[in-house]
This record gives sequence, C-alpha cells and structure tokens, in this order.
Amino acid sequence: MRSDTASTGSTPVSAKLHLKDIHFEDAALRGMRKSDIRANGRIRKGAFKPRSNGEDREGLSVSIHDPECLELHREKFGHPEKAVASIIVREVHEIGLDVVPDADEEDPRHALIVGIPDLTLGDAQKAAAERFAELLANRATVYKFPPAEN
Amino acid sequence: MSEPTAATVRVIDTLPPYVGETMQGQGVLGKDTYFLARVLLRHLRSPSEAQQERPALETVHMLAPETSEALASFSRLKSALEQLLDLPESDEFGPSRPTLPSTEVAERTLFQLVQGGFSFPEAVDVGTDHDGGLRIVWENGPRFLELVVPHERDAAAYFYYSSGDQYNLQRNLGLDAVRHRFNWLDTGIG
Repeated sequence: MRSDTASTGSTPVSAKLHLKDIHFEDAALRGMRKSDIRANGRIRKGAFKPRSNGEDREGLSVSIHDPECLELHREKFGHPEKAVASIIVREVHEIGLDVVPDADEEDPRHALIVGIPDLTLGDAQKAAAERFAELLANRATVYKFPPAEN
Repeated sequence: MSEPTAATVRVIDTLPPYVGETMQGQGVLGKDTYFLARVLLRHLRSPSEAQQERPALETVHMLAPETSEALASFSRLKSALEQLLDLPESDEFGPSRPTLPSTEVAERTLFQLVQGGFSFPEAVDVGTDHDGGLRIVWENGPRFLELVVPHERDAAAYFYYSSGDQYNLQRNLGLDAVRHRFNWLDTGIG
C-alpha cells in the first residue's frame, strides 16, 4: 500500500471491480435525506449512525468522489428528497476509522467507512457508535454536484 | 403581573386540568395536560387570533414565570413532534416517521420537568435517524445533548451527551437524572 493511500481492508484487491486506490485527499460521498441537513447547515449525526437492523454492520456506505463517475453518482444521489454529505478520507482516518473499497456492479467507487463498533452489542459500543456518528457529522459538509452538461 | 380578578378566577375554575395534574392533584399526561400548552402555541403563532381566548391567556400569565417558559418550550417541542408524525412512514433510507409511542416517551421525559416547575432550553434540532429513531438535540457551546427514542417499542430511550473528548450514554430518564443532565448542559458541571 502506498503511504498516501488509505487501507484497502481485508478484501483482496484483485477481487474488486475497477479498483482504484483511495487517497487521503479523496472525498467520500454519503447519501442522506434532505432533512438530515439541520437549519444551521450542519449535518445530523443520525446520517452517520449505523442502522440498528445490522445492515451497516460491514460499514457505512459511501462513494468515493471521482470525475469519471460524476454522472453515475449524480444519478445515484440526485433525487429531490436526497442530499449528499461529503467527508475527506483523511478526516475519517483522523478519528480512528478507515475507508475501504467495496466496488460493486453499480458503483465502481463504492466504499465503506469501517471501524465503527456494532451498536447492538451493548451500551459501550452504542456510545462509541454515537460518538463516531457525531464526529463524522461534524466533519462532513453538504456536497452539491456541479451543473450537468447538456 | 397584576392580581387576578374575580372573573379570571371564576374562569380558571372552569378550565380543564392543566400542567400535568387532575382536579384531584394526580399527575396526568393527556390531552387536557396540553390545554395551556396549545393556547401558548397559538399565541406564539398568531397573537391576534389567540386574543379570542383571553381568559385562558390570563390564566397563562398567572403561572409562575419559569412554568410559563417551560410550557412555551414544551409547546414548541410538541409542535415539532406533531410535524414529524406527518412524515412519510419510510423512504429508501429506512423508517422516517417516528412511532406515536416514541413521541409519547419524549413528551413524558420532558413534561416531567414542566410538572416539576423546571424549564429546559429550546431544542436546536428535532428529527429522526435512518432507523426512525426520534432524536432531539440541545447544544450549549461545546456541550451536546441528545434525547434518543428508538423506533422499536422494546428499546429503551437514552441521552447521548458529549463535551470535548468526553461522551457517554445516560439511561436514567427519571426527573432528577434529567434535571441533572440539563444542569450539566447549562453549566458544564456534573
């Protein structure tokens, strides 16, 4: 792994589709509700809390911003009731979490924010998961796609 | 504040129970409990319209200032909770509308402060997370306090709070514990 890239996690790199490195300066985009943007413009921590049904046990779903995938991500996130949070990968690392590639057929730049404790295990894990949600939300900003080219 | 007139006192005698007590003095949380809270809310929204309810407003003025302030905070919160109940049940992120029981838990948790004559600050955010869990946020400088009421009926509500590098959950939502947490939000002590 290059020193300026984030960890690629435990999944073999060769198994990934169109895998690209994740750099510390990359932005990770996370879909959320428009209502997750508070009146003061900050993002609700609930947008970064793993769901309690276990769907986010593997990690929080994000897409790595990539000019080559701009239209794909615009289609993925561009809904009137949706908004997009953006957080720099370096800042995810600074709070003790990691971003690992998780490319799939629909999104070659799909990734996961990993390292958040399983909040179903107990209050200590729940408190830590709440804390990570708070730290992520405090560091995230609202992302706006550039105007589409017609 | 002026002394209540005989007419006002007579009107008060005919009002439904309020501020969390029945006519027999028993604690209660129901539609009657919200009588004055709703009047206050209408007054905040439209003072001229509320003038038609003048006797009730006079009653409000007779409450101790801290009770009136607490009722005003509670009324705004109640209004925000009612708006959440109008949300679509769910979207692609998960449940978006809180359950009625979860809003009732939030109301009970905070209304006990009003009943006790204590005020609490206005929430800076009231919403749901991607589990449909109800989240009410208060902030004071570096201190962050959030009441979380999970969507699941069998999951207990809790406070999450943080300041600087410190954070924790608080499961005890009894009156003294809730008062203590709001004191911490106010002063940083505790």
